Amino acid sequence: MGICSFAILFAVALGCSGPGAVGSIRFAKARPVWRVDDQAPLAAAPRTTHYYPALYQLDSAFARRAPRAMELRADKPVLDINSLDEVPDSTWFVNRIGARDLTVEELKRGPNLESSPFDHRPWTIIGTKLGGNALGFRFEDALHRKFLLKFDAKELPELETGAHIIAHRLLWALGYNVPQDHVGYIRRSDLVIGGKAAKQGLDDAKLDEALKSVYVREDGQVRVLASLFIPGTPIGPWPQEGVRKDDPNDVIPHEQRRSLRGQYPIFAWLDHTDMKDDNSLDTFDHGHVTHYLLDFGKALGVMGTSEPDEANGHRRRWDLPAAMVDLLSLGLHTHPWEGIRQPQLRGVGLYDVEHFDPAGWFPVFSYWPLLDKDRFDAFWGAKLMMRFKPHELAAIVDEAQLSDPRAAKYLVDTLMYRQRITARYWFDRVAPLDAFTIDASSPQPTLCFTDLTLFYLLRDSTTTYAIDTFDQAGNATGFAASAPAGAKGRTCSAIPLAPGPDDYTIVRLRVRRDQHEMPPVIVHVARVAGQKLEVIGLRRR
Amino acid sequence: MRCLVLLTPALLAASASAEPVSLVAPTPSEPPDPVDPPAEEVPAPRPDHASGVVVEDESTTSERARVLPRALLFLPRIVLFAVVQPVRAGAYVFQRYNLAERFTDATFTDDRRFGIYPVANYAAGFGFMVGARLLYKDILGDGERFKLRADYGGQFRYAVGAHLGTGTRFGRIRFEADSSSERRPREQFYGIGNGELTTTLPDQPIDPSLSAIAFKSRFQEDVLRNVLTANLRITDRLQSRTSSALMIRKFDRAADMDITEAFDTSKLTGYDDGVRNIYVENELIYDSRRPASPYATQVLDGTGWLIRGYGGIARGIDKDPSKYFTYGGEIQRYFDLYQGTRTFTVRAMLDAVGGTDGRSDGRISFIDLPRLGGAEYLRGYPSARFRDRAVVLATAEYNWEIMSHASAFTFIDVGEPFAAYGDLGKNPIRVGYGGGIQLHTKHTFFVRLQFARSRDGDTALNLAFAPTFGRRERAGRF
Repeated sequence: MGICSFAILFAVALGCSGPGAVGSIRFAKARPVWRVDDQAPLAAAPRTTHYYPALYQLDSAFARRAPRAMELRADKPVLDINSLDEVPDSTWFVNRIGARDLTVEELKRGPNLESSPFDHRPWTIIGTKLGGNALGFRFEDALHRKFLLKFDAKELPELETGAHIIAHRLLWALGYNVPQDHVGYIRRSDLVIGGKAAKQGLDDAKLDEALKSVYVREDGQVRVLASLFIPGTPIGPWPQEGVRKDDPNDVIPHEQRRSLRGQYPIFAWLDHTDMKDDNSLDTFDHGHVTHYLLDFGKALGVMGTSEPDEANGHRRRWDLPAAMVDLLSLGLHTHPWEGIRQPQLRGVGLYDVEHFDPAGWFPVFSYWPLLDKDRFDAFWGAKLMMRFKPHELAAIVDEAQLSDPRAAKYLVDTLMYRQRITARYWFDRVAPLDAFTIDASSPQPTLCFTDLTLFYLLRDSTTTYAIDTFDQAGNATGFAASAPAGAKGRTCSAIPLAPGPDDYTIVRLRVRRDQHEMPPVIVHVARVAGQKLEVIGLRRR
Repeated sequence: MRCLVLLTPALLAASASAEPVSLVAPTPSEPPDPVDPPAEEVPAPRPDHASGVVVEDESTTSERARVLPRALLFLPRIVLFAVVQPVRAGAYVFQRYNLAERFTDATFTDDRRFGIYPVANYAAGFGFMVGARLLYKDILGDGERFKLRADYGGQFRYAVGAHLGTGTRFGRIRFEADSSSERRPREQFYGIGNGELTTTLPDQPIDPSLSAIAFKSRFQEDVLRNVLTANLRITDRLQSRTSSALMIRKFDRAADMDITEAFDTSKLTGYDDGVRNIYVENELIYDSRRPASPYATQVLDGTGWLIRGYGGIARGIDKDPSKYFTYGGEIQRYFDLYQGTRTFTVRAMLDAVGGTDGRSDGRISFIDLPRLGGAEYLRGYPSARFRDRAVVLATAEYNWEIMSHASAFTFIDVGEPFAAYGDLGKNPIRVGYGGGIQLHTKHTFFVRLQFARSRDGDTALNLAFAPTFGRRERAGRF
């Protein structure tokens, strides 16, 4: 965490001394945008991109990382946000749990709107899985829908399939596009070798031999993950940086997308260390490109178990600066992950609370959007992540069909604890005020907001809010007040409107927690279309 | 960092590791209302027009502060970028065109059991080697293996050989047969004994049977080597290894730094007439070395013991006067210092021959004398720097992980060649030290880059493709 934290804090320190008290940013007197149009029809599918592991690792370790670090580009702002610092719906991200409560049934179902292939057997194998090292096949169910078929390794029962399903459901609920994935058990007799696969040399003997390496339950049933082919034409992973130049809808550099940068706390929570180009996929469908996340089977510490690598989630695979430190220190300093041990529970990976550092988490390979994330991106992700309630987490873990109830409980508890640790860390780095509303029904408008740290009981601190206001030109109106935190973190304060067109008023809110003042949040209020007073924008500092 | 935290004191209080979060605090039953409920916008704007910002924020102080460092780093960045592009291009071409798979497809059968393929490598001091291999794996389904090799260049003028291993076909007993014919044009000879190295060519050739003066020279060796080995696995950790070797060797002048310029080779047993002998040896090995943690790489040991002892006899054939016996042993102990990621290893080793004075009685050729020096035994000294009736070596090495796929090591080797046990300690003790880096994955060892220096001023940079403390075959090793 050292250097990154230093950089973040340095940026905070310098940023605080930047432009005037409320900055120069101004918003249109309009409602926030919650949906963008990035689905304009294209004349042709964009060029297919490819993933080359050796080149990817080389870039991740040095060839791109070093020149990139020398660009000193850490504080490039995100560009896919609306005036409320939120991410509107797009082909990248759809507000789900961040916009409304999802029912338990929705959470359990995830994106699986079509019927389960387990209800439509036998499955006809049409070929082997493309890409990756693990055993897998492509098959058609009885409805002639195409799926990928994956297994658990014999020595790691329920592990990858379980982790995949849990992360899959959570990421869908958070707003990401994922395939329709199902876990369950089949019998060997449910698998039929199709003509195409037979032509490629697959026969029953080879299939039986292959299945010897996968987990089979005592009753002879094979645990499998079936992933429905994503609709449209696959055109490869999205680039980590820049845009697809032949996709006119792709106008925001990917490393400047909050929907990607904000994944940092989410992936840290889930220990999804296998985020790399190969686990993203763009498809061309209905004349435009849609962006999917894939393959979560190494999340929840499974990467650490299957490699095995106790530093998983704590250290990049090829981290040359960190290696230099270790080299020069002769290994005399210990690392925080050392001593972590595998919970002896079937279906649970190297996933714990004790060794978890929400800011010291790393994917296996450098992933530039995660590397470029700032406090605000992380706050956004953490805020989304916190919306899962314990019983919802339990319902999602239940979808993994783990045979040991202790494993399910362990995972729910660990998810919940890491969720809270992660949120507290990032909520401490910005003013964690959210859900702003303004009530203009009384003579003096009232601005209300929720302090997420207090709401989620992440800290038991004496908290007050210093509030002052400015006009559209940024001049102080002379109003200054202090308000104590309200019940359940919800606080309201009357504010006078600043003189000027449409009552454009800028409110500065400073959180004072246990005598410590946090960086402010600047809220912009104005009459939309000259009528209703609304919150038209906000930025955290 | 702390001074910065003072600017935003809440951040210090917020340190995640400093204070555990209240894990028992229940999450409130209902989360707060989410941000504004999504409203329909018709039409939705383009993605880069959604921010609602009409006046941008001015650039911050931090942004301005980067201008100068960016300018300073511009040129180095461009240079670095240019330097790495050929490497990137190589990686791209390698994978874009599936070169590894194409190579295997072209050189191996579909089941990958039989193949003929070229090899090449570079050895410091010997130059480039090219060659070819014929490999037939799993011949009868029990891991049997047959290999033919042919090399040219590098350490060899030429080398051809064949190897046959029985795998697990005979259960606990594994047989191996190895036969090769090599011409080594640049073998090194420094004399016999523990003498100091001189760089001044002596007026009179050195009699190596009487004088221990060391001088760097080279000779050519033609060797025909036939080795049969039977490995009996008694338990998982205990095995007996019986080996026999038929060695036929002839020696000749080297193209440069020839041995005859410095040494009187007529006094060097075996040099003029060559060596034809049979060697038979039995070695008992207890080996409990293993990785100390499942999370550490499985190709480097982190705990356990290696204890081995051997005895052997050699007899000349076709009037060759070889008649001596060998004995010796080695103890290695691996100490796991911390979680399998820091390992301290000590090693003590004795190699000796008996039944001969090792010099002038004609019973043992100079080529069969125990040696020290090179990349493994008494590192820091050149290969074959010391040879005598017996050699002892003690090693201490510390190994620590620096990445998941890399570790570093530092070591000290202490050794001494001697003619009689009474001489032990009377002559200078040779010390080599150094360190290096080893690259590996969890299950494959790639390379060891080692820098070593001796107390006498020698330096060596070695590239090896096996860990330091691997156990080597003894019979026919020279």
